[in-house]
Amino acid sequence: MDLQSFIQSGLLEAYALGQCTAEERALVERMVAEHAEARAELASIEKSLEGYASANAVPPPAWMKGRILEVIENEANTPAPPPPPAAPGARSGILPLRVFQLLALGFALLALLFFVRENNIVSEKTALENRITGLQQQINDCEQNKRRTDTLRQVVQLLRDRENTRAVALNPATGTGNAVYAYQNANRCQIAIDLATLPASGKGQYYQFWAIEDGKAPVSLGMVREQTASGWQLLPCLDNAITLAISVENNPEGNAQPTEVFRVGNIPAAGG
Amino acid sequence: MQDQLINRLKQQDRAAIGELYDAYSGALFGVVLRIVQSRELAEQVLQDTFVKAWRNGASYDATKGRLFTWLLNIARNTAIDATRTAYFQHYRKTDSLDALAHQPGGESVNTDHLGVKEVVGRLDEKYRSLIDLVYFKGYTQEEVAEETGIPLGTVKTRIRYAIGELRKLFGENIAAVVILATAILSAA
Repeated sequence: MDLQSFIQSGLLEAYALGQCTAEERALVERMVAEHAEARAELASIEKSLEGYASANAVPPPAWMKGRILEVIENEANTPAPPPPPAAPGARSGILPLRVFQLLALGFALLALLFFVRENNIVSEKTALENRITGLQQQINDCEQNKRRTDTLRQVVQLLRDRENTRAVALNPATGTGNAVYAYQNANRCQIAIDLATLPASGKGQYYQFWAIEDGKAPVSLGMVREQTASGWQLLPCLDNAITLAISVENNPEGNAQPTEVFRVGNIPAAGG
Repeated sequence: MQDQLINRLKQQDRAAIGELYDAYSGALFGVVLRIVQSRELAEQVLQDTFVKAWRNGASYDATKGRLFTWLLNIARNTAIDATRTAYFQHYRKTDSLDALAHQPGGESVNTDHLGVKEVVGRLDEKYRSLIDLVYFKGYTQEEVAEETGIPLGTVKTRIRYAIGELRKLFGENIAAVVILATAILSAA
């Protein structure tokens, strides 16, 4: 832009009024620095505006000047505040130390979080395990009840089949005592023992159940439990057996031959 | 003469501030009053203006403009900042410019004997109002256009024309006399 175009552009007026952008201001200042005519033009504009401002002047209160000078005097006599003291360990060591402290704090918080989380997990796991145990117990109870119910249902069915069922009173083989009652159903080939009639065995003694065919050696039908949930026990039968017996054994798994016959009874003949 | 004053200002000579005050406080106070519309707040702004001038005197560059223009920019910016404070909002409610006319000391410097009012009166109102908005109240030309509804290009043209008229009215000699008279009356 040549000088005359610049002067005519209105930028000098805008500059004097404080209306220029940073870019325009830089241009004006460069032109004014380089050209005496532009400098004189700007000075003239500024003087005109200054004159206009002076024509609209309002006198400030008389005390104002003294107050301003007093404020400046006080500020001049106030020593500049010293720079803030450096913290101990400043410069070389402070940054790594702070970083280390922050890291340590971060790890501690993380560890705490993990600890709390782990604790919660352990608590939840324990609670779940307890709940599983409880549920398992309920399942066991249900299964036991089902077995008892099944046993009782079979016992009822066996007893109701009077035509094929024979009650067998197993009396003491020696001495006196109550009979133990068993019911054999030939059709089902099943024997139901009423455990309520069976006396408790001695310590280290176990009951074993036997069927004996005529002229043959006793055949073991299994061990007799003293108690069950249903109070009854079902055992298989021996088709041609004529006698049932309970022996006392010292082996919980039983023996091949009766050690001591405890109770014995003959199976009544059909129709008898 | 002014060069010496500028040098003393740059060296934070406190007496230089007193001389600046004598020369320019009236003109600056008139501008500030128009912006903040409150005598009490204008007094605070004027005080802040001269304190800032004293603190920042070293930054004044005479090649970039006249000393008065530099001071006016400080005063105008300080006044505009003050209008954005809650303090301003409070005083605006209790102290209007209309009321200022009836307060002691609220009158303009009496320069009638110099014929200044007559000179200023020769400037067409439509130009004077635009100059007043920009120069005294710190409006941008865009804000003037928005405020007056006059197209921005017209605003720029009129302002430039108005300054041209002022240059005729305030020829260098007249301006110097007005400034001197204002300074004398302000100091009185």
